[in-house]
Amino acid sequence: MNVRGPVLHPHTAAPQSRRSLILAAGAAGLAGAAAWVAGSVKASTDVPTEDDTLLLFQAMALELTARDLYRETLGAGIDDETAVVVEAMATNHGAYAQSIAGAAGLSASTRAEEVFEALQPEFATSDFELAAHGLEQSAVATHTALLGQYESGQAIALTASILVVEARHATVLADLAGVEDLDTLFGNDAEPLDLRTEIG
Amino acid sequence: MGDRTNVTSRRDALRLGGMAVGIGAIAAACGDGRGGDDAPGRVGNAVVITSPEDFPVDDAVRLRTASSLEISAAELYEAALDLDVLASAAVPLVERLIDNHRGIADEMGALTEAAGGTAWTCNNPWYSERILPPIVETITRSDDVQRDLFTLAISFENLAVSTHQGFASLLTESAQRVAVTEAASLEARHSATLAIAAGGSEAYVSPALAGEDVPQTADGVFPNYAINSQFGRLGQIEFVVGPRDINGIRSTFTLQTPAENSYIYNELAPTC
Repeated sequence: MNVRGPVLHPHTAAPQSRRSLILAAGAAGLAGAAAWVAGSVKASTDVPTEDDTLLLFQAMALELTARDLYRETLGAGIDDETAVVVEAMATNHGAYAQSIAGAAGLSASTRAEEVFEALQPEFATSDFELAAHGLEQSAVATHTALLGQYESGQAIALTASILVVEARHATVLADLAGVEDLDTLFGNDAEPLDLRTEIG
Repeated sequence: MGDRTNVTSRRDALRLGGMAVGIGAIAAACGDGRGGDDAPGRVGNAVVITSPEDFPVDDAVRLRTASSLEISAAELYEAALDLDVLASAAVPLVERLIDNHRGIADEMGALTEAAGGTAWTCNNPWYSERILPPIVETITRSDDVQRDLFTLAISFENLAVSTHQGFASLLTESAQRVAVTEAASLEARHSATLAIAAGGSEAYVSPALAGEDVPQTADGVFPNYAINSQFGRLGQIEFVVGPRDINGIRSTFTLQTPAENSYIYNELAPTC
């Protein structure tokens, strides 16, 4: 047997400020989003319903916002190691927006402008990884809240397949930021974003 | 020499005879009133095949199955710790993974009770007694036990992610769907954390996402990645562990999400 040395490569711990993302994003009405989860909705159809489409529109806008934030970061110039990650995440979020739009019969063209403008400065700083980590955590929380409200199996299945990868995004970004704390790596105290008022 | 054109040779006779027999066989096969056993032919003294019970699958069964998988995962990590081959830095991580899996099992148990079922507090016999033992045994003979334990752990976490992701579409109550989705996202974090712990920053993103091949390492195994696909997958999970054989090839195993043969039906009695 060949037992390797330490497998947890060292990092300096970095504090997380995920709540600041929510505040910066101006995500009012979080209680309403939490109420989505509290309600009991039975999935009864395969094709997204009218109510589903309204919710999927918000999910799509969030994905386009994330894609554009990562694209701006790439355009601003970052080191090669981070660029590989950011490129993959930008591509993934773009694909999620396209898939959601396809499922709901929407045009993948409307991002959540207020969220984008609120986060753009944070993505341009040296703490980009923390800002991006907060965004991914919020995306997971938002999709989870929406999933509890969807009526169609298609919306549920698609959302579940997206949010499990966004959780992986968050883990990678936490590692890039130097996070070692297991509560931060495995936890998610981000609140779901309520984009209803912003998008109308 | 006489005219032989109308003489039937022995070869012709055989040909005509064979044709007659063939046509007769076809006619018999297409005819009515054929009796006998429809089961496939059997050779030797193989064990008689038994059909599984046709128990119903409802929310409680899926939630009991989810609990069982979590307990199997926790027991797998406990077995890994017992091997005493993990680097000391990895031990707190593994202990946290055990706590997380037992916590999810408890949550699924509470949801089972709420759905009118009986919470399942044992492992999943299909995985813990049939699937995992030969894999663990193979790993203990490996030239790099820790590497292979990480690969198995990542694969089993991915199995748990896929299971909960799939159940999200099958469970009928929103509280159940949200719970399994949260479990899936936590286990996706487990998988990603383990991949990074094993492979460092090179394990962040699979080259497959950029349309590139994922080559084997010099050790003859496939690297694990934190972000291993663009969307969460539901298909079987394949991985390579164990010692090289005489041809230099390591063993390939697959894990499949729970199905009829591994569900914890309401009719099953506890196994622990």
